[in-house]
Amino acid sequence: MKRQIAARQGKNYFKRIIEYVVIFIALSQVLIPLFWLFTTSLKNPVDIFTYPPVWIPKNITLNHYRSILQVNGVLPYFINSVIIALSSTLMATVFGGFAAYSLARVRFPFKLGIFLVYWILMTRMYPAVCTAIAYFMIIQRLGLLDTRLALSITYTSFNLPFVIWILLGFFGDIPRSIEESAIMDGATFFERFVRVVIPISIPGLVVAAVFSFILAWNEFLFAVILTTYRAQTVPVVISGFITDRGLEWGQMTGMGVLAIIPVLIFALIIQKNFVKGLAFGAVKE
Amino acid sequence: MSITSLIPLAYSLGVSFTNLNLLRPGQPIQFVGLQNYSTGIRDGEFLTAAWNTILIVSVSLGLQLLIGLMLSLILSQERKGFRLWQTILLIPNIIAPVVVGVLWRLMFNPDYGIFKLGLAQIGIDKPWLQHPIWAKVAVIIVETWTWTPFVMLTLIAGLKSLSDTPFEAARIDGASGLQIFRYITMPLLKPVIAVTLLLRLMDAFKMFDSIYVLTYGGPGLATEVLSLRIYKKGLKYFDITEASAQSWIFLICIFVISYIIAKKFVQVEKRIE
Repeated sequence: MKRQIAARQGKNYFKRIIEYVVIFIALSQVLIPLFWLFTTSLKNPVDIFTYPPVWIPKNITLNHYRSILQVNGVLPYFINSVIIALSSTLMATVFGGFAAYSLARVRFPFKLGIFLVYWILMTRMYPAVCTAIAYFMIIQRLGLLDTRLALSITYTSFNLPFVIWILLGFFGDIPRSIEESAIMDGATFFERFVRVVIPISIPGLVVAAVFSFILAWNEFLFAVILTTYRAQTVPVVISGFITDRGLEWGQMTGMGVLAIIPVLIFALIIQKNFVKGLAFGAVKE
Repeated sequence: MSITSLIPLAYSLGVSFTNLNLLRPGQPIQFVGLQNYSTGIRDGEFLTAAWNTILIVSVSLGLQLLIGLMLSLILSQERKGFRLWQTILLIPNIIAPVVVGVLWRLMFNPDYGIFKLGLAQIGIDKPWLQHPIWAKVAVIIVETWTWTPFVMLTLIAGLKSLSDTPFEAARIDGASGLQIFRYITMPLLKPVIAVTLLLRLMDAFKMFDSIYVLTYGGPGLATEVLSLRIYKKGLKYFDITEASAQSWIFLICIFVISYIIAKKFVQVEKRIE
């Protein structure tokens, strides 16, 4: 009996070691490339173009970042990205918030949940490129090509179904009694929403907003189609580095690092709820 | 929603039946029936792209499921530090695909990329992005790197939502770990795997950004996928009628595949109630 228990414990330790090894390998697969991206952006060209590669450069330089921000004038594109991402996030969250609240509180004759799920699946399903050509022509007709407005509107509409979906879950969890007491105190529908519902559901709003922001910040296809010069966003500029200017690794990786940072910060801020947002709809909680 | 998807969809459907030519604005627009569809589906480049898409999607999806399942089985246990590690593992999935492309282009570089470092020693020293077959392998590696975290995440959520009772019962009956996995975990997890597969499939067919940066479909047409093909045809060569017809062929294929999977494995309604 004792020997059996000992054997089982031995087996357990063995299993644990394997598990940690697997996780270690997975973590290194993720972190080594990112580490590489980061160090390359700090290396002198001599260290970038050597083999075997230099893991930790002896001389660190900020020249690439300096030339990104000054010489190449990438700053305006960052401003574009920030404005577009923030404005579309704001619009998606505000409109989505109103829509979700009315959907959560007003009774509909049909099954709303199902309708929404199909809607989200639809927007997720068709490849964006299938509408891209016609969308390009429509935007051209409207005279909005190469404007920030065009991209803001586009991303807002991409994000709306997702925002509504996330917020419906949060609004649905608010106990009715809280709102009822507000009604007793004579609050209107709108006051109730602004004074009572919004403060309670701030976590949900943050999750929805962060996901909208990340999508708008990372989006490439429509950004490359709808802009030519003035309204270009960061991903478009990064891709341009490859095709137009040969391979300036230092600057390209520098841009990459700058593009990743905001996303990482946001992901860390909402770490706990992040998983919920990413796995949306796939698993019932 | 309707402005950005329904109207353009309808518009492209309309255009696909005409001979509209953007490069010759004065030309009268005529209805040409299914002509664009018949030339579009016989277009050799389109077929190559379709084949590449199927190959890349199926191989990388298989790998993602395999690795994702393995990681999720480990990480779904409640242990110290696992939540942080899980968040770190998610990074590839949330950074811009364009940056992913840049990153891997740097790593695959045949002269000074670090991907060469480990593999050269075991005799795999390939011109990754320059060789038609190895470029496909490279794209599959990048797809897997990017999307395994998503698969892992949904499976972890799925595993955590399973009730403990059947597992305890099996343990009391003296079932081995492998038996538990084979006869309890897998059957219970099947719906979650199916939903994950469905979501991933729909996204995978859209892959565009990282390939655009990594290979731009090259060398030759070796890594050309459908999204990239339609993009080039419609917005680089301005052959919008045929591109529209091809995007509708593409769309219909995706709808059919998704519908089959959804019908077969997933009962969407049941998951919401």
